[in-house]
Amino acid sequence: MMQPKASTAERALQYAAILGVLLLMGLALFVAPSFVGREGFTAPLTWKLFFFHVPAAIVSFIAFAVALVGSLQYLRTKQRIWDHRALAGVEVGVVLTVITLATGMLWGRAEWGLAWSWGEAKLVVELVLFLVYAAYLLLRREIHNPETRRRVAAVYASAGFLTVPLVYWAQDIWAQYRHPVVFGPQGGGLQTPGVEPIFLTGVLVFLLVTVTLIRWRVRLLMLAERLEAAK
Amino acid sequence: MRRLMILVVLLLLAPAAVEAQALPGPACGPGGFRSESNTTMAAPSVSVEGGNQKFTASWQAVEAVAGYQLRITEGANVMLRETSGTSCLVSATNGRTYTVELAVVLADDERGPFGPAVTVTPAFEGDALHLAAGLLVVWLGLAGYAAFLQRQQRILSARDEALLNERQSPPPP
Repeated sequence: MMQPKASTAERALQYAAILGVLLLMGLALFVAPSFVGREGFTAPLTWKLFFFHVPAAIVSFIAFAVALVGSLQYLRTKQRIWDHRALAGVEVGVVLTVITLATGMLWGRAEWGLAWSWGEAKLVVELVLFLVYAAYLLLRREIHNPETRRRVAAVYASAGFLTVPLVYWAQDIWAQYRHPVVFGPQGGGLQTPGVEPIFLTGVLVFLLVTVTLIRWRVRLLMLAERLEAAK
Repeated sequence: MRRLMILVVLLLLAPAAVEAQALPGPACGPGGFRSESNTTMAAPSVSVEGGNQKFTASWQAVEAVAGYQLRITEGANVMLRETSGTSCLVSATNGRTYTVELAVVLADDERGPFGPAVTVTPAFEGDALHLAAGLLVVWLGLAGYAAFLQRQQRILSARDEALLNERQSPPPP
């Protein structure tokens, strides 16, 4: 039976996630190499948002992949747990996408003097990704029949996942003018000594946060379902 | 979740009016080597004001001179700039310290001695503020969703407890 309170393991995960985010902030602020005075850097401090912006983007793809697997499994097995996992994956993915968009816009405003450019494919496709999954959450609210809601949401989330590779390859498909390429032949910004370990820490921290939040959300959804059934 | 959506819409709309900051080019031209005149003609004191990827050097006009030469030193790099005006806009890298010296240019293509040096370090003033805003967004995003889950948990726990009490209470006579 689903417990209303978090288990000890879940509590430990939650504390580890909080400590992880604080650790990442500390590493980015005080340990990451300073780019002050480096040619081509207008805003060397705002650059440190890189340690949050890129890991949040990568891990949001993983959260949406969880939603894809959950949706496909629900369509195959009709077990509600998979629908809960899909919903939790989308919610956490949307939060991470908001973080990606907001930190990217702040960096762009500081570095380029321009928070948003409709001519930048990467930015526009990331916004489309956010809107696609935000629409998933709205769609679920609008369909009142639970069975239909779960089925339609699963089909929608499976199709919506097509946006994820589109974001990753946007810079190869469409011409990019400004957005930096992190993973590429030039090595993006990762080649600077001291950047890669903190970047990888960032990915791990966001992964930990995502696992914690998804587990927590799934537990609550299961509890809500049990209470609904007991009415 | 609704608050997060409102936040992202506001973030998207608010900066739409922000225009790209075009970096102004130098307002004074490059200068060449000039030998120092035997005639001592002191340079006026120069003042510098740092900006984002630029700085402006300005000084008081001196009569009977052909123009002014600025010697700008940054590490091992030395740049010379010349103008007939009383100010000079120089493109620069943020975070680097530039030393600026001024000399007057005389009619015979010579220059006077360089005056006292002043230093300037250009910077983007909103840099720290943008970083702080970014960190706040990260924290609010994650903590906001966690707070939403916490609230849901409280509501569901209360319902669960109420249901349990209802089942444990004896049936009415």
